[in-house]
Amino acid sequence: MKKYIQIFSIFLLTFLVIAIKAQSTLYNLTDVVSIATINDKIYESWASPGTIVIRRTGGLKALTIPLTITGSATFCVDYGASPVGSSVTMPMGSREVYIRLRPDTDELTEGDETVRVTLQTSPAYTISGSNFVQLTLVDKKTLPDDEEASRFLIQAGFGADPDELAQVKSLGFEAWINQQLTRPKGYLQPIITAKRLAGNPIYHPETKIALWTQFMRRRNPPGGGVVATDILRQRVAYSLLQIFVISQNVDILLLNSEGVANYYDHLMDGAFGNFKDLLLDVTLHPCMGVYLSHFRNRKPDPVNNIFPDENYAREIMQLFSIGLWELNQDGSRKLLNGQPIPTYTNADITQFARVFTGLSFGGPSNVNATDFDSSAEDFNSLMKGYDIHHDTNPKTLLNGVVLPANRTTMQDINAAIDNLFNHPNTGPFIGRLLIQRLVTSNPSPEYISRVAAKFANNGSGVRGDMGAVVKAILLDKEARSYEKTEDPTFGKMREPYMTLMNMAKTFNAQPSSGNYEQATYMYDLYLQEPFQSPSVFNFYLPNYRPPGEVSSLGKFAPEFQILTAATSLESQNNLYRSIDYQIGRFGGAADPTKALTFNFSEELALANNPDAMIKLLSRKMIGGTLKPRNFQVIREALLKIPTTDAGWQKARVDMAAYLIGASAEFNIQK
Amino acid sequence: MSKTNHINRRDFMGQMSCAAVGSTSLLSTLTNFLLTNSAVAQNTPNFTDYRALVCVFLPGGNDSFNMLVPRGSAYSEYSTVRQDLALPEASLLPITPLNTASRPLGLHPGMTGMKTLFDNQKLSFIANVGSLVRPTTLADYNNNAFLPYGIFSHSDQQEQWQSSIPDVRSGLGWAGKAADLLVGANQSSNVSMNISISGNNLFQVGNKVVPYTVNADGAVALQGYGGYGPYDAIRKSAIDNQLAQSYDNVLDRTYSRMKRNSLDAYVQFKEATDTPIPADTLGGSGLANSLRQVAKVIAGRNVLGVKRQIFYVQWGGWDFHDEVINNMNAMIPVVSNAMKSFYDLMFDMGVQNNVTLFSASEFGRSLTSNANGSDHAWGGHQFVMGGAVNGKRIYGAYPDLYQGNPLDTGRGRIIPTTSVDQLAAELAIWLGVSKSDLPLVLPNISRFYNINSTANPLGFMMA
Repeated sequence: MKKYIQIFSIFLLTFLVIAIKAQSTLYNLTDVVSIATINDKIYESWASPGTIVIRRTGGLKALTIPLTITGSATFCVDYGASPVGSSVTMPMGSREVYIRLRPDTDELTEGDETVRVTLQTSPAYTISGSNFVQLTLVDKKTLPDDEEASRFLIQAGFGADPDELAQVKSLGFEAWINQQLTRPKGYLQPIITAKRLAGNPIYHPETKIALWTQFMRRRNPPGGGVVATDILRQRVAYSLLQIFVISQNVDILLLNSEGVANYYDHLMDGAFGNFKDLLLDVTLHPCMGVYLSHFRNRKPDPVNNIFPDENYAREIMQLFSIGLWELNQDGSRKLLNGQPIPTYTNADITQFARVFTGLSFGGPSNVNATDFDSSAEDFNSLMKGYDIHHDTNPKTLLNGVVLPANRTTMQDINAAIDNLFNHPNTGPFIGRLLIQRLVTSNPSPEYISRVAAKFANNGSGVRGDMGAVVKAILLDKEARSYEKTEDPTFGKMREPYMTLMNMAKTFNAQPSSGNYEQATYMYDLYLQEPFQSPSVFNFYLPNYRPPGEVSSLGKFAPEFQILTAATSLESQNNLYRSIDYQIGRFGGAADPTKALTFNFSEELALANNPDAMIKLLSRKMIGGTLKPRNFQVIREALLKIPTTDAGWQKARVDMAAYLIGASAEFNIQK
Repeated sequence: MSKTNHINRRDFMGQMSCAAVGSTSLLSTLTNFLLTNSAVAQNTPNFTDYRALVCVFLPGGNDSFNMLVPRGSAYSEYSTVRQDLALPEASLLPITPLNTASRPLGLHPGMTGMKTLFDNQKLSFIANVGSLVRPTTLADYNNNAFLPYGIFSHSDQQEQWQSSIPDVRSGLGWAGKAADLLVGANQSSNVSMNISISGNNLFQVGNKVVPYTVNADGAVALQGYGGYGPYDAIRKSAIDNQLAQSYDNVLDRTYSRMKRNSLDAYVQFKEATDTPIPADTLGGSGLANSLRQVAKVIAGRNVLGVKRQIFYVQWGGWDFHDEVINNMNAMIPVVSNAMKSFYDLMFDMGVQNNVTLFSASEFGRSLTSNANGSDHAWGGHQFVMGGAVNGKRIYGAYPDLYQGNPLDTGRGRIIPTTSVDQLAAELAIWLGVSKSDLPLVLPNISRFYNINSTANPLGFMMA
């Protein structure tokens, strides 16, 4: 039975030498050395490294520290010139050295094993505290551990809330997804309808409040009971809202949160439904109708120079289905004579514009086929066709599909949706956009191709099965493997909205009244809030490249489009206030039953043990991916808060949570 | 070629080869690719005066054929094509351009402030301007030849107005590249030469210069960082240490660098914009607040030590496929009043001849109606304002509007007869870019303008 542990890297830290006098004094001090773990688990199933830190106080001279490595795991001595094995050397000026131990994954069942690293005595230093650390090498197993499950929930949900974390750990990823696929839906509209019926206004903040209510629902709410939470569906619907964008920044939707919520509920249906139905629902929803102006779009009137509105015809192709350029299954552009091939021309748009004529309010009140202009307002039902206003001349769609004359509105629209649904671009185009929302800004062509293949055929011959697509995205090795987290171009900027939402979910910011109004009006801070996109192009473009390195490397980073000097700091300030006091755009809640405060009780209990507290926060907030050097920075900050200060426990927790929240590790989700 | 120019060109070539890098193996060599002005200013153009350019971008596609409207004998051509979108002739504010008196024109009735500026020779229009790959005919259009990529789409045409390169996608804007050439005139500073009041944009991104973004109420400070709170010093030190870490991941690095730059720029910006400015009549619209912030930065120009600045302000959503008349009636007066008040404020600050403002919008709209809105089109009208403008004139050619005219690609989508390149070149020259350097900023300029010509591209700026 073999088990190789490779000590693969040593991180050295250099401190600035303060002053020559101070240096010469320190130079001759006796070193005091200690050893601790930053990560004391090495997971074979998720090849994440264990991390040991050896620290010293006292001197500044280069210091060689002899070590022994023992334990039930068999250590491979085959690591060449690595300084570790018999000793590590702390260079002059350094205060700590890190040793990372990475498992070799094998298929053997060995049970958990141990690795013990022991400091040897030396006349060059004295040892403070324990002279050894012990790490656990966790054998390959099917169920994820805390770190891996936390990371998964940042992608698939809204952060690592304890209830959901326990579920993921007990079920495993695939079974958890399977369970989510069949959960009852937490619809948005009933929340708003209830408010309207109670006589309350339903202006634009209501959709945000309702979303918070759904996103924050707990599986095991305080007071008992079990709730069938549907966070994966919510996360996918929330992501679809960034593809099939409508916004309440237009007047007619600003005041109509009920219709907008109804639209979102259709996205929830589509999240695990069939893409064709989703695209049809999006097309027929009156909120989309007014947003992209195909609502009450008329057939041409050549005598008066009136033509069908082209807005929706363009955007359904450019943004909602096929994009601008012919794609291969892996998302790369097809080329003809070295040039990309446009998917459509303006002539095609005019054809599709004629398809989307004759739509007006539907619903039970609108039975008369001639009430196109006078139909009763009903934003909670899909639009219907009023055929006398539909252009019934023949139309030519993409790939030469011809719609014959004299068909009904709905016949034409269904055919047009079919035309786009079956276009080879749709799988890779939509697949890439969803990967970007959930996992990484720069999926490999192979990743896109695997997801697109699932779009084309879910395994049972069905095209467009969104549940299968979502599952393929989240279970893909590129989404799940630890190695990708160390890939220099992997990951995505955590959406600014998600930074706050993730914290609230993870630290269970529940208002006793159940009212989340304190969490709204955040758009100005960081240029993002659901249902407030400035245009149909969402808050950021999928192909946005921040200037500099990302651009030079030919990579994308959509969310960086809203990261500016202003928003980067506003977002961090918002986190600062939320941690220190409460979530709230305008200070704390006047009504204490609406207060949104993070629950740091577990962390407060560790206030006198900074290492353990930072480990716990790192696990919850970033799946345990805090870099050793950053761990050290935060540790030093905590130790500078004396235990003699009033409120030192809270001050330490706030500092640690804030500094992790400010870190690149948190803001770049990997 | 002067030595300065030589350095400029070499800089550009160097950065362009960098831009072609597609391999992760070069990551490490790019680790220290810094994006602050202070790190890169090399050439030092020597300007004695201060000049600032303000871009007011009207996203969504302003229906500018209802801002600048034919009167008299040409009115019927306009009203016939626009149908329900036509403004009544009697409602137009008549103007009498100095250079095109033969074609009577009027302004949208909401443009009283801008009419005053026009009449006082502080404002001119550029007619039928848009993104062109090269001078383009209807035959070209029908043959699908030399057309901007993604023609008629918002995102692509916005990109093209800001890059002035409609045939190839570019990650750089023409104001950014102009700033690359001019930034040496400014003292080395943490605050970029290019300042945006409206978030990130392509327009201001150069090889070296990237925009510094502030809100309409100023720059944002980091709370609890270097203040007087009990743990501020601890927090500041920790954040500074965090941001100084080296990361292997390019997104980590980019994020940390942006935040570091934001913190550094804040201190300087705050000091500079503490200078009080005269009372103004801008009012409280988003556009007004943004322009007031521009004025504050201009007032702080000496503290910042700058000779050249470019500002970006974006306002409104102009994509009126529906209710175009009502929406423009509400929004055009806001623009017009803001222009008049901003000019007055610049006058009160004594910099009206040093500050030039121009409008931009990704496209004009279809002349024909879709029942009470208009659709995406191509050419449109823009305005340029300031004491250095040859005012009360119409530059470019006001097109025929009748359906089926030789510039009509269908539905009254008019082929531009003046290119964004020409508009940009005129402004870049005024700002201090030499004519011989224009191709570095506007690579297609020679398709529209002979850079050896003694005349300026359009002539709307005083020499």
